[in-house]
Amino acid sequence: MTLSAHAGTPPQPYHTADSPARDRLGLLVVVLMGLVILGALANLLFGAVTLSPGRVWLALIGASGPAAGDPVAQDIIWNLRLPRLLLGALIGVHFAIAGSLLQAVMRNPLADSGVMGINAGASLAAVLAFAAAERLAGDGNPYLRAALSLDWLPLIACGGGLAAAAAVYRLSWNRGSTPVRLVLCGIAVAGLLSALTTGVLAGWAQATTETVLAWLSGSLYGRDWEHLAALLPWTAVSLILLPPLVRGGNLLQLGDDVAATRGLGVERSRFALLLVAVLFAASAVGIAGPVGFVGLIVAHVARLLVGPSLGRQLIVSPLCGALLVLASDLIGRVVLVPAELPIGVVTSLLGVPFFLALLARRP
Amino acid sequence: MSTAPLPSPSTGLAPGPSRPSLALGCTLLGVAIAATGALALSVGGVPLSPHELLEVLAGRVDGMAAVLVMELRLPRFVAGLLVGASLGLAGQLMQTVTRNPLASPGITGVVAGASMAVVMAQVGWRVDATWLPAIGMLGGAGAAALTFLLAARSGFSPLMLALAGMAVTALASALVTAFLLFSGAQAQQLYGWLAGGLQGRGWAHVGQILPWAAGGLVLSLATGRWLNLMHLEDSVARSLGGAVTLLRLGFVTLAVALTAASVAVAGPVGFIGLIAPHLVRLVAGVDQRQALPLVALTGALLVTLSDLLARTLAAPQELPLGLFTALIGGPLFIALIRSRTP
Repeated sequence: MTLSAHAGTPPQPYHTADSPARDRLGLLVVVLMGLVILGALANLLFGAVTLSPGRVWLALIGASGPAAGDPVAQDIIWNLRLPRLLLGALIGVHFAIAGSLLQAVMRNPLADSGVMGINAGASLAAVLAFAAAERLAGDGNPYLRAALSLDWLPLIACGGGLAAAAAVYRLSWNRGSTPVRLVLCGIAVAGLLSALTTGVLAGWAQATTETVLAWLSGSLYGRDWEHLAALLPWTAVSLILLPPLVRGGNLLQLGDDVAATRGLGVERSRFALLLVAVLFAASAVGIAGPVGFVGLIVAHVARLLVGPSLGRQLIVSPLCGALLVLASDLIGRVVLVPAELPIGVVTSLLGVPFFLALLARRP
Repeated sequence: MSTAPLPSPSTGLAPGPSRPSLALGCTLLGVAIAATGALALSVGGVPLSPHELLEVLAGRVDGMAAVLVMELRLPRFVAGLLVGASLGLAGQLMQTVTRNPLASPGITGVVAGASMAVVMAQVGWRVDATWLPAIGMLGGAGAAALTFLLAARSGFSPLMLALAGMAVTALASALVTAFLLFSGAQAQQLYGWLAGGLQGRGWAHVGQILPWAAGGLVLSLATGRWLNLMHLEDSVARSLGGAVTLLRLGFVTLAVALTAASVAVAGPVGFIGLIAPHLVRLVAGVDQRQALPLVALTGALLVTLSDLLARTLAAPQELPLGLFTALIGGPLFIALIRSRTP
């Protein structure tokens, strides 16, 4: 991969806006976009059934016209692979932005939505909702089951993620908060919440255990346009909230004192950034389940590629996130054909060695 | 007792609480466990009065009540005792050896590693249950090795240990998920097991864990004097004649074996190995010969009490045991972090 050469160079601190850095960023974005498009194409071509490029092309353009003549390819492309790959890319963007924001706010390269307990809180809320809906629905009452529609899941998950993040933040607060306490409390809360999730699942939910289990492992299986539509409003809202916060995030990376002398409301800024990070991560958990380690890997790679400026990281990391999720989904779909490995399992298998290597490198 | 005990000459440790506190602690814990046991044996779908229970235990009654107590409730209670004692001891050994208050079987990934090995063995090879403790031990040892290797570079700091353990746990759970997805009809049963619980555990399970738990208990109690050496700086301990590295390896192996045996019987029951040693440390000081029996009893009490709650609170439905140990242990864990980290 061409990117590894860049990854080897040490991050250059504090580029001003003059030309060489600009050029490199532009080139990088073009390269990453090319890779994302390649990944998307590969996701269209490969899977349980391999389609020829010609069939994919005809299915893509022919779907609008009635004379396409290849219903199988059209069905696979338009109903299965296209919505799935778009949703996968969107999920990657969500986790990537959340990871970059959290690492900036925590001043800790090991922070991400999994470590901070956000994924676990969102999962518990969603599993409780599943279990409650199942209880309420009972036997043969389809109306109540329908009450837990997809549209509610990002909201429910956001509630859980926010509660978990608030708990971690509050618990680590003791005349100020330190990164060590934040990370340890995050791990503690995540451990407690996942024990509760397993407990709820084993104790209450029965009929849907397998569905929920697949969801809990972080999966894009069976995701279609509805899921994409349910997630998009959350993407839009979070993206609108993001730009005014970037300056604060940049300053926070320099330390609370420095940020305060530059006129930043430190606690307010940190809180707002955390809130937006939770919105991004938890809404994605609501739709695809807790996909681990994406934010961690991507934020780290983005920092290696473009240096410490949060604004520049936020341009690169969504692209890297989309690329990582597309690649992981493709791996999960083709390695064990016809069975399918959930994307969360693939990202964990990729992310854990990365995380361990990061740990081992630190003094 | 009026005379203050002398400092232990073999270690030079400051005197902990005196012997009577050990006897008192053991007595109090013993009474609490006995009370829990009496409740556990008499409460349930068919409640028994104290008189009936005594009659059954004395062997003067046959029939359903006898079957209920002797074949269902008693083995389950005994299994809970052994699981709790094993997990408590494992936590005590690991925390002492690493001098790290967070080093417990759960945090260091040993529980997750053992679970992974057990799930793999059951899905992949459908092995006989007798082998599960040994198989679990392989998985747990692998996880422990990986975690400790990473944390050793940073001198076993609590943060690094917790982070490395979290990553190892994540890796093991990803593999467990993958195996569960291919287990087909077994998934529901395995998932119930992964929540941690003693539902339906009988004398066969007691037989399965007994040699490991009893062996581990005897061994750790017998080596308490050496475990005391682990509190000292390595150089001091060496000059006192302890082959420190060898001892450390031995104690961690013992802890892994104890953890694996309890995971094989009860699934991954969280937080006991972390919490029991801390509760004991609040009252018993640092002498391992006093702490070890108290930790074993505390672990046994925590697990049997949690199990009693798990099967009675929502009766006739059973709640998972892991739910209650997490509810008891999680807040204590967080309080610990708040008080111990800068």
